Amino acid sequence: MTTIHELAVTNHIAQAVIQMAKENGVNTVVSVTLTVGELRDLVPEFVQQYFNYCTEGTVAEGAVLHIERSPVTLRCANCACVFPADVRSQSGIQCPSCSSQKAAITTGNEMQIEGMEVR
Amino acid sequence: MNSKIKYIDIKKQIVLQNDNDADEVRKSLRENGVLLLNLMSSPGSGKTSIIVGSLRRLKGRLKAGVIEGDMESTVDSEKIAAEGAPAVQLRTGDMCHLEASMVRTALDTMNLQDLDLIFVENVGNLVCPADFDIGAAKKAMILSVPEGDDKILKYPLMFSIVDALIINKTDYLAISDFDIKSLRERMAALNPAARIFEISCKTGQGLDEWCEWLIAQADH
Repeated sequence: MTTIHELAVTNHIAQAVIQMAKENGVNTVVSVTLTVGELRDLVPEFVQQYFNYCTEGTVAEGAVLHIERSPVTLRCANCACVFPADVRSQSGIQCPSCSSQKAAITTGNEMQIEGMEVR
Repeated sequence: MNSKIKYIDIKKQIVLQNDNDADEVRKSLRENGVLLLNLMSSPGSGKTSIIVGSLRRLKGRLKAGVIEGDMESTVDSEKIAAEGAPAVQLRTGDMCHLEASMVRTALDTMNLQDLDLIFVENVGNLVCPADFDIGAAKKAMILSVPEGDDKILKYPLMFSIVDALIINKTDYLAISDFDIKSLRERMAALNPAARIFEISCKTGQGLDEWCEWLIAQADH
């Protein structure tokens, strides 16, 4: 079995879902809504496939993943304005408020379970 | 049976088991006064060369050890052992990155009381290692001149999470169109707190400044 990028992360997600299901006394997880920041590289179809594999025989077997991507936002180092940015673009980053080109990432790296449909 | 489906609101950040392992590693290293540096880059950027160059300059100033992570082979740890530093080779097999639990097994074989600094040479890969905290107090990455200055656009996560960026193989600048100014500007936009070091392992230029930074980090 070769390990592709999403498998390791998805296995961890699967374990987190199973753990949360146990904590909530759930019999079956029907679906899971996840928010994943845009900075994280993943292909949703692969994540679903690997999730299915990792959850076989568990309370989360067969659960459908709904993955929402959350945008990358930066906080300006000069005026603290928070703004969305495409950090993969050639065009560079500039604060819309004060035009400074120094900022730090505020959001874009998250991986959050928003909720689950359960039986 | 068709029992009702209900929705449970969770709104919790996924804490990976790896994150728990990483916190344990960090705690244990703090207790032993050892700085763990996670060194990441593409294959061939110069991780081993940077470590070898650092070990030579740190002799007598910091006691350093190395944990080598590779999918296959022991070539890197052999180079380290030749420098007289304790080296542990982790063979990850098919895993493209190191995780905290692997680093912990390596640390269990090292004499932490005898060390001030441990370099972890991660698997050559600009993608996955950025996703996995290994319990390091500091993270550094290397981008070498032949790779091109646009890699910060292709791998923003890696560039955004490090405490230090080493631009290696600066001896190639004369024959390359690598734009250091543009890279520095993009780095200032993404991760202004990170220190940037311009180094040539071949000529030795920049290694002293890098080692002074390491010594300052280990002192904290």
